[in-house]
Amino acid sequence: MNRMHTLAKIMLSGIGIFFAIRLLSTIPTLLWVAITQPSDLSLPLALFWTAFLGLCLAALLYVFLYRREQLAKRIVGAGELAQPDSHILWLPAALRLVCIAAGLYSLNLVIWNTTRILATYLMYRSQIHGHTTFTRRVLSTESLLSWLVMAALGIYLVCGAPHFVRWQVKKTLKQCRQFGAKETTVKS
Amino acid sequence: MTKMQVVAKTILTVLGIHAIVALCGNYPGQYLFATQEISVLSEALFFLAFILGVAFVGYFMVFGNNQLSRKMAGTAEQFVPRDQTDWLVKSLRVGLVFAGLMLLPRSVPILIRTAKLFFLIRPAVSDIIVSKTVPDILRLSYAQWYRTIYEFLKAILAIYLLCGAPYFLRWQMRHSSRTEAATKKTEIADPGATN
Repeated sequence: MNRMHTLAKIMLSGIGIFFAIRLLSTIPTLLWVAITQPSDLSLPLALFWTAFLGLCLAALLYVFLYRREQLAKRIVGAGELAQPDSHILWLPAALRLVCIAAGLYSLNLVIWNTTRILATYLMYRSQIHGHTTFTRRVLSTESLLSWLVMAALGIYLVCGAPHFVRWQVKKTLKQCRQFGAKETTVKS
Repeated sequence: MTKMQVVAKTILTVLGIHAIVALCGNYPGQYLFATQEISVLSEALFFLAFILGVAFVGYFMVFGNNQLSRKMAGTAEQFVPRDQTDWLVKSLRVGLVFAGLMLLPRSVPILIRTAKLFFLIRPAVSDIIVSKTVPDILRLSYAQWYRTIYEFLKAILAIYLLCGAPYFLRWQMRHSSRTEAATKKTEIADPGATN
């Protein structure tokens, strides 16, 4: 375990807490809608969604707080690693962490959109021609395409975005060399 | 510059970008002027005051954050100059890529709409020229125009940040080394001045 592992563990805890707060904040809204507007969302359905979100929350906390040691090892790499000060090693790990955080955020948006679409469907279902209105207004090609792109982006980023990280590392090291060379020229 | 100062600088830059994007997204004028009759002058003054506020945040958090980062992190072990350049470039780039990645998912819909516009622009232009009517896709309210332009600029910013914001990074490096040199000169002249 080195400093990079510790940093990864801290960041993973941060990510877990951030998403847990976001998930937790949706639960009261669901219950509030079910109690105040039962025609839009029935209480059993709200309870079902609350239980589902609770399960998601438990899984999230389990992965990011209890299993963070293993996750950090997978991100940084197992075995004895050099300290992050040895320049190149910490950069891909930090970029991967950043990608994973952004991927989770993207997937969070996808889940949010899906639940919103489901809620809208439930609202339109009871109306006359509701199905047609729903398809025309909510299920447009544009929104479906956005949803698909966001989901694909989220999955790619959660997987660590290997190509993107490799490209970024290459570019960053090139830039570092350029700045280093410039400084040497200025000094001499 | 110390390691902690570099970290503080990166965090300040990321938070500053986030603050600018959030402030511009919540510009109160977009709703205010859509619902109330206000003179163009007051509207322009309001917009100018808002822009000045955003510029103030941008200056202290993104462009001129050297002083603030020094105050936040304090003075500790100094870098070897080569190490400092490496650390600054790498940590700033990681921070900027992070900001870009966080902006990207919300920019996907506007990017798709922009791609769609390429197919719709020809019939829209012919509508304007031939039948002298404004097509539906251009008939937007004040708030909708503001939102569309804001989302489009946000998408461009996200892409620029994902590319590592090369010009901004170059400017930051130049600016940091200049500030560093000035601070060193002050320290040599008056050792107690920076504490």
